[in-house]
Amino acid sequence: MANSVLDKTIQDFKEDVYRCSFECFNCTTFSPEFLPSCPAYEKYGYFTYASRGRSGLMEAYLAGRLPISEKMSEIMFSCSLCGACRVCCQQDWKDYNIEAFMAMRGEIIEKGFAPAKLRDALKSIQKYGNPYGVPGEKRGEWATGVDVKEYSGQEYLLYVGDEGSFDVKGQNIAKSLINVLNKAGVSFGILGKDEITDGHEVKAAGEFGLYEYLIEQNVELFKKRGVKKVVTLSPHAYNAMKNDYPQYGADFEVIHYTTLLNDLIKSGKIKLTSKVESKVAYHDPCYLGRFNEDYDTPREVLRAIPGLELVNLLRERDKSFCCGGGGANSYTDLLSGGDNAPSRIRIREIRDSGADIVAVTCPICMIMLEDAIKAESLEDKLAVKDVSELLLQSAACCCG
Amino acid sequence: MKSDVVLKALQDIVGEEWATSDEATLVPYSYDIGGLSTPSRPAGRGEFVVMPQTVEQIQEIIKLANIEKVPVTPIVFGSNMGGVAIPLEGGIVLDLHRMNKIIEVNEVDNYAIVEPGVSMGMFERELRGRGYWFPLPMSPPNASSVVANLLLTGIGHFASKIGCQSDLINGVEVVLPTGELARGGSCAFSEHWHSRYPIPDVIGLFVGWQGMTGVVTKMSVPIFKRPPYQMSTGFGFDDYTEAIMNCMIPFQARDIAHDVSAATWSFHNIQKFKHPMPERPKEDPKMYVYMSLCGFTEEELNFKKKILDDFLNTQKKAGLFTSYKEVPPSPDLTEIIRNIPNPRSFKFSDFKRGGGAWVGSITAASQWPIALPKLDEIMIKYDVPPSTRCTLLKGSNCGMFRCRWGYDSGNWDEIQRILEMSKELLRVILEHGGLMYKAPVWGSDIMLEKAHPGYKLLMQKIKKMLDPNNIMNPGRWGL
Repeated sequence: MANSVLDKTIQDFKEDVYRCSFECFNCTTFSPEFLPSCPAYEKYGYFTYASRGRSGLMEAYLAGRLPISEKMSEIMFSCSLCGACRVCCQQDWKDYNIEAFMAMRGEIIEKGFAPAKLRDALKSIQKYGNPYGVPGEKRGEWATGVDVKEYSGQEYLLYVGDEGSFDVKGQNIAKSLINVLNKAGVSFGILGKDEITDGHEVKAAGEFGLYEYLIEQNVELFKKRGVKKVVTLSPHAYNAMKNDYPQYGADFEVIHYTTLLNDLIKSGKIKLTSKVESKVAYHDPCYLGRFNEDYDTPREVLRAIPGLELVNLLRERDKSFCCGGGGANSYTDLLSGGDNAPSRIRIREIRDSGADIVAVTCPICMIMLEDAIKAESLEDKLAVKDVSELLLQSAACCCG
Repeated sequence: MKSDVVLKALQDIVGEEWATSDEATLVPYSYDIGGLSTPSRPAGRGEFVVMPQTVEQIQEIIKLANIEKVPVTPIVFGSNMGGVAIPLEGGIVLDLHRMNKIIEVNEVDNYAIVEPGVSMGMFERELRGRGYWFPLPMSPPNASSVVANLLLTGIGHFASKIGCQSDLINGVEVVLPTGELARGGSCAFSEHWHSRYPIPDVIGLFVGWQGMTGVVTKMSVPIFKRPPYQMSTGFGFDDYTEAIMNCMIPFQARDIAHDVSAATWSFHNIQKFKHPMPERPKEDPKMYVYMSLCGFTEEELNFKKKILDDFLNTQKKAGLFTSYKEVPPSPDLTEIIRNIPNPRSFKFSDFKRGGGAWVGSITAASQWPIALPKLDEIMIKYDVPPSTRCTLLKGSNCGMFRCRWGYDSGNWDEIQRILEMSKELLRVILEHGGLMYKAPVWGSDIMLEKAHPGYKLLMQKIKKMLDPNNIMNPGRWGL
């Protein structure tokens, strides 16, 4: 596509890497709250892991002064592409940096320095259409015994995605959402074994060719099945389908599931009567919030639940602190482990807010934060719940 | 290999993940755009980066460096802009940003003790919550070190009231270049970190020395009650002498404003335009003067405002403001002052490929109007917008006198041209008795040409006494 980021190589950013001037380091701090913003910098600590440092690496590389190495690969792939630096940066660099990082990742892969786990995930996607190394025909097995039909012209296609299909925590979210949708009488279906990855994290990894192939496969499949409306479980899939797929002929409407839930509440198709007496902090996922500016819909859903007290976090909305799962880190795992793992930093902040539940709207956030709760031994104090799970708790007695 | 031995030893001290000799990781520690170096043309490059978190770890690192005769360059966030934390002779980059505790905020005696990794933003956040503030600089970003800025003679946003930041240091704890721990100020005698005086002063051994005499691990600074009522106002002049001699200095003498600054048209508008900047429209003033006032009550602020208005009227009636120009009110200015540190302050990348540099000095205020036309001429000669800012320090004898501009950081030839221009600017400033702050090597070299021989001798003796193996940030100030 003309002017698409997918057509760009790192050479196309040769002029733009200089836009990170002054070494100001604003990219690492939300202002005027003056709170840390960059997950990779918080974990690794070296200047190199912030947007500022990465621009320097790329400039040195493009000038032929620095070879690609395994360490450079770790540095470039540890970014979760969460976009927080764009909120903080006051220079024009913010308009180019994330695209430049992705292009540099593409270069690193091409030169044979992709992190090992990423290589495995990409191979699996090429072979099976998912990053888990599981044959595609098993993709729909999670739905066995679940009251959901295969998509055959219903109003909505529920795009479950990789985590919803293969990860137990993701599957639980999918099941609870399906339960809510069934109670509200929504007409929807899933693709089951025919579903393949949306490719969002493949793009994040810089594998633009594979991403384009996946988009084309999905668009063709959705057209063949006559899909007009897609509701996604993951904000990552939502971001891909909303912002990239239309350039490849996608003509379907796509919404994140919280939008559908909010509409169902407003139209009275879901009645929330049971109290959920909890203090709930909402963790904004990067690709629903910062990249698509939807901060309010999930909060509206939560506020509709009787008894639920929504508490504020120090870092929220466009200044939310990323769990560390984005930017293909769910494949590479570079931001997990240790006290400084972004998910653990985030969960300590949530703990300090006084919340007893952290509500999420992204399966990757669910996985990252639940692991962080275990690592911090907070199982008795804090739980992670998807918004659909909280909704189901309230709607359970009155719908259906 | 020696480097393997040093790396292993560093990792043993701080833990494996906090020390590295990786080439890619070292890149951002090798340049400083303000210091006119770039990632592809670094000013110097360290061989190791180490990130200690305790004083004891720093002591061990310094002792190791002495044994192995390896240079050590302390750095916190690397935003000083003079390239002073770039390792010129290799060795260990001592990244101190993980030492980021605000150890004490003493609201009885009004001081705070901070570690070097405490950023301006972190400090502001803490003080704001307590109804205090500290004179943070208007230009440096929020991720700059409070301690480093004080040690490098930064200028805060109420410097006109209380002076240069280095004047504010109550006390320090420092790891000496030979690894011993020392203290200066009242904290050398008790845990009351309230003042620098009246004992023999040793704190100056670390101020302005660019990390050549030790590693400051704790610093006490005064904190000030934050006045809830603030305002900033500006007006213009077409004549430098009127702006400085007839407006700034006499008003500063009344000790009413917490900031009295001025900027040339280009400096004032530097964030508004894309490169290249247009010519100044004739109706716009040549120089803007800003006054910031504050009060603990509305009455106090209004009273100060009345004094300012009366002063302006008096000067006008006396015929001292022949080039005075009203300028549109700038609510932004009050907001900027109220919300320092301001992330917008260093917005330079609208200039072609982004660089931004300066020649900053402390210069006698009487010399500003004489030197300014010469500085303008040099900058215009180099096709750079004539962009200078000045701020009076406490009293009215001197102040910050700084030229600042954007440049194409991707063009090495232009960088060299900018370097030549910077040297010319500094020579003019020196002619007028000014001295460059946060001086890069080229700046200190030029200044040393003029230095009293006894000053140079004393510096050499101090350095040799404190740092016999010359491991601390070697290659600076001719040492």
